[in-house]
Amino acid sequence: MSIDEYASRTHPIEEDMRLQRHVWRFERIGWVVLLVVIALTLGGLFSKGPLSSVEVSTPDGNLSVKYERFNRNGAGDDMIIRSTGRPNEQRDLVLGKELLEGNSLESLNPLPGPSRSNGGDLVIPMQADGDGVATLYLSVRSNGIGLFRAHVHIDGGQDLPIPKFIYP
Amino acid sequence: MDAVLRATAMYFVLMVLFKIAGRRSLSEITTFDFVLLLIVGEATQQALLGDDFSVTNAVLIIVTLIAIDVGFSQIKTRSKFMARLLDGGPTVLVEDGRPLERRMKEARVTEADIMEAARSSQGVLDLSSIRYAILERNGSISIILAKS
Repeated sequence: MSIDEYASRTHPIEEDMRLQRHVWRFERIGWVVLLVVIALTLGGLFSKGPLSSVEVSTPDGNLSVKYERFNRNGAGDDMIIRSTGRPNEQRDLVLGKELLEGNSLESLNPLPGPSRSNGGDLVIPMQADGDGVATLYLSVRSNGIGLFRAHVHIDGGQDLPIPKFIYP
Repeated sequence: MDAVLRATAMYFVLMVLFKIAGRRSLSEITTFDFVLLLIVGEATQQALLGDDFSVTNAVLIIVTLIAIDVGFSQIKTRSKFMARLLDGGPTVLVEDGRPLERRMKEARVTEADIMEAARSSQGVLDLSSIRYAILERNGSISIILAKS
C-alpha cells in the first residue's frame, strides 16, 4: 500500500511524487528551522536577550558600558556608560567614530557640557559626583548594517571595545 | 537603491516562508488564516517602506515587486520543471473512495477537510461516493464523484 501511495498518478492528473515528497521534506525541515529561529530570538541573537544584553568593563574597572551587542537597523536601544575615578573631577569620555558611523545618538542624559570632536571621535565631558562616579545614559538608533568595532575610553584611560552587529 | 533591495529581500523571504507553511496554510480557510494574512501584511509593510513614506519610494517598491513577479511567471511558462518547483503540482488524496492516508498526513489534510470540500462543492456525504479528491496547487480540494 505504501509503495502504491507514493507512486505518481497519471490519471486524473499528472503527478510528480518525487518532487512532491521533496516539497514535503522541505516543509518539515523548514518547520524545525522556524523553531530554531524563534529559540535564538528568545535567546537574544536578534537583540534584547541574554546573548545580546551585556555589561563590559575595562580591566581596571574604571569604565563600564551596558549595551546591546546585537541590534536591528532602524531600532533604538539604550546604552549606560559608567566611569569611576577621583571625586568631583571633570573627565572626558571619548566615543569612537565607529560607534557613530553605525548609530545616531538620539539623546544624552545628563545633558553634558559642550562636546567636541577629535579626529572623528566624539568627546563628551562627564562630571563625577562626590564618590567619583559619573554615569551617562545614551539612547541610540542603529542606522548602519553589519559589524561595527566600536571603542570608548576615558581620556587618558584604558580602551574598551564595544563591538556591535546591526541586522538589516 | 535600498527600495529595490528591500522589496527583493521581502519577496524572497515571504516566498520561502509560504513554501514552508505549505499550500493549506493561509488560504483563508478559517477566520484565523484571514487574520494571520492581515498581520503578515502589516509586519511586511514597515520593512518594505522603512522610514521613507514618499510616493517615489512606494512606486519603486511596487515596480520591483511586479517586475520579480512577471519575471517568475515568464520562467514558469518556459520551464515546466520551474513551474512545478515554484507552484507545486496537484496531489490525489482519495482514489476510488479510498483515502491515501500517508499522502494526507504529509499534506496535513484530514478526512474531515475532504468531507467538508465534498459537502460544500458536491453535496456528498460519504467517502465512497468520491472517485477522486485532489489537493490543488492553491490549497483547495477538488472533488470528483464516482459514477453511480
